[in-house]
Amino acid sequence: MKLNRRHAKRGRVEIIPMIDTILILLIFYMSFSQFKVEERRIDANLPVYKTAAKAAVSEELEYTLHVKDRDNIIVNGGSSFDSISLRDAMLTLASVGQKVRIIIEAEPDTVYEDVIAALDACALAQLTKVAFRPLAEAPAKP
Amino acid sequence: MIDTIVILLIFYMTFSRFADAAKESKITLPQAKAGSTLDIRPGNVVVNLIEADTISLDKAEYKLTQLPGLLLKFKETVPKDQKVSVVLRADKSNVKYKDISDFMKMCAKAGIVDVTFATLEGGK
Repeated sequence: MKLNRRHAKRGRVEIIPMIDTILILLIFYMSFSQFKVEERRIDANLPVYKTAAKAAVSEELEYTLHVKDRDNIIVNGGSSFDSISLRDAMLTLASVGQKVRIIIEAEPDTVYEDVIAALDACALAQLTKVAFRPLAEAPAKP
Repeated sequence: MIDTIVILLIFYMTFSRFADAAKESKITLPQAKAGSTLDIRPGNVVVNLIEADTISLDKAEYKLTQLPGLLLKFKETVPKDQKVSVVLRADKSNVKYKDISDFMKMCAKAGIVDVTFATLEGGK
């Protein structure tokens, strides 16, 4: 009697489905991934209006920056600067060597980006004692 | 071709990442030249200020008036000796100073005075 010998099937990697899978994975990663965008930090203290008032009697110089917009930042109710010239003014102020406290205030409708421009000018001049003056509460309607 | 595709796939899998859970993708951060790299430490809570009166924490949206309660809850989870600070991620053009002012008042209600402003590197 003749016995049929069974031939063991050789394992084989199916190339075409593998390419399909890899391509789909590649498209998925290319479409839905994002590369790391480094975020940065600028620190400040909030809201320290009362503390700032105490500082005024100490040896610290106090400067108030009133931000109307990026090109109109009023320092101590006097001169107006844009964000670039404010940076130079803050660098000059920092070079004096005296302790400086900055208080930032703005119009209610000033965009956040412009407020950050003023804060950035202070941070670039290494003026780290920065506080924000919150808006006064609107009087209640009778 | 297969080699190229596999290498591309490995590259994308290695160097890409998906949005952070705490970070709101709808927000466009303002640009600033100053500042150091933002690293979220224990004791930091990330608050996204999307627009007036709307904040998000850990992908959940809340009203701004709910912020003091949320911050107080967070403070309870932090050890007493650890400094609690808020990392503010606000949209550069949708958010106005009055919203920032309201945000500050809410932080003050929760007894938090340390606030970090998240920015992107750049600016004029």
